Amino acid sequence: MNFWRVAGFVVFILATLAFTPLVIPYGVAEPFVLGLPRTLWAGMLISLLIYIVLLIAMFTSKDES
Amino acid sequence: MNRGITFVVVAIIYLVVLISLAVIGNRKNKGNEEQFFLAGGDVGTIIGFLTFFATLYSTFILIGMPNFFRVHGVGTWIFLGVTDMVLAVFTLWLAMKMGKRIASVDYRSMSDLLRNGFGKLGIVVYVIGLVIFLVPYIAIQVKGASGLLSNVVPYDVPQWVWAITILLLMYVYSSIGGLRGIMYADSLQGIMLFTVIWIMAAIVLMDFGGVKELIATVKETKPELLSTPGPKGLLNVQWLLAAFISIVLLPVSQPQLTSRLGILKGFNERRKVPVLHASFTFLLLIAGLIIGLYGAIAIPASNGPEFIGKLILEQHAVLGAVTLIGILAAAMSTSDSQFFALGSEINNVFGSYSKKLKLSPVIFVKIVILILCVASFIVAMKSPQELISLAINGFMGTALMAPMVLVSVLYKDIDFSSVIPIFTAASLIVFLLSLFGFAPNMISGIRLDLLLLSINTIATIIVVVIRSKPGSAQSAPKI
Repeated sequence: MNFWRVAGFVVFILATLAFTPLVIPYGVAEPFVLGLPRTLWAGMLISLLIYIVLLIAMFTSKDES
Repeated sequence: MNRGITFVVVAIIYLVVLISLAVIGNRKNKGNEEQFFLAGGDVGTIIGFLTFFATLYSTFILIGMPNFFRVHGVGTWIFLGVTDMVLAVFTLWLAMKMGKRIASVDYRSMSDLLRNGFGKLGIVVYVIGLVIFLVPYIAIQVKGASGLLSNVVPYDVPQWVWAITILLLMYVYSSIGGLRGIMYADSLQGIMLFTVIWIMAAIVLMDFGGVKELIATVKETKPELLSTPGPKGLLNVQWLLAAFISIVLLPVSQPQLTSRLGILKGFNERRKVPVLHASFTFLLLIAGLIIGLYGAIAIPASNGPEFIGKLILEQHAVLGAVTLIGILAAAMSTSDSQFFALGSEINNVFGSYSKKLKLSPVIFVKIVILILCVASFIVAMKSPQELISLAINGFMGTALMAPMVLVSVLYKDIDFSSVIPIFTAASLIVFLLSLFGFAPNMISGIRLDLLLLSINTIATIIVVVIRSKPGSAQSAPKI
């Protein structure tokens, strides 16, 4: 399967997750992890996971030109 | 040394370095037209990353981003952190496609790709859309930076003088060094931007003892900043989604960014630049978060420039001066590239007129940039509310053109007729009407901009599927 399709799908799922109440519940800051409120640590975690997808994409991408 | 003299010394050093970089760019160009417009098309990883970074991040990142954290709280991370990581993935994918597409065409600007699939109509819609949304955007940047300078610099210099200084400086080094000069200046400005914001964040962290302690203080004093939608209720799902889409599409909707991906030297540069960009963006946002939350506790202010102005006055004189120059640099690093990209695109549309006037493309572009500078100055100084609205919504405005531009990158030698440019023009007109209050900005509870982009994207996909399917008279290889 084309790598970019898989990467696109994973990024889409992660980004979608960021807009759900799992990450941005209305007016809720708990639970705190490492002193960070929920939206912040969950948002950072999602950003980090997308960054890892980016790294994998960088190492596996092939020259198309 | 007092603040005034310190500022003058730092400003002179900055100016000398800036103009020297433009002169170095000019010498490397050797009077060659392709070098002037495309920097030879062989930009390396470090310069490529720094110019992309500085061009993408305007004064918003130094003034607006920390202020966003200060006013709207940690939900800003979703607006910028998650969004910018997705932008980096999209940039990597686009860079790969651009490399292949550019190799198949005599590339000078994005209009060359649009002409191939959409003819003159596509280019005209694209260029008009860019002028409508980018000139007000540049103008509010100049206005913001010049306003801050006139308030914080300890000399009685009126705002309009600062605005002219910013525009004149941009014009001078762009004209001298062409795209290469701009990229060298961007590199300097990108380094300044990153260094300044992190020094300020480090000072704040030393005061508080760490991020954990900072957030604990926010929890006690302003707990509503630690959840969404924030104290003002802005960061709701629809707002975040609209911001997400318009920012992620920037590499394809803003010509100064697309063109930078097109002129990277080769495969290695194209895959490394987005990763470097994402890495430094992550760090930049953490700095903005720290400064913003500190501002929420310690710096009462009615707007971003006032907040940053007060923060600067808290710093050591040298750091304060470097920060002010950093803000000047941030305003110029985005605007210079937007001017140059606009000039190149306009040259591509009206190149035949410049030939009739016996003007070389380089001279023609310099004249266009000068006209755009004057227009931006007038808009910056007058700035009626409607134009401010255009500037604020500029990213979404240009995002409406993204489906058309993306098709021009992905497909070659297929005539997509006039359907896509007409849909794009129609969505731009409706969006403009809503900004000027002649059309609703919400329909059935959904933001109009999201609806327009969805309709535009679906229409574009339908046309592409029909026109490019095997057996069609128009079918041709996808890039």
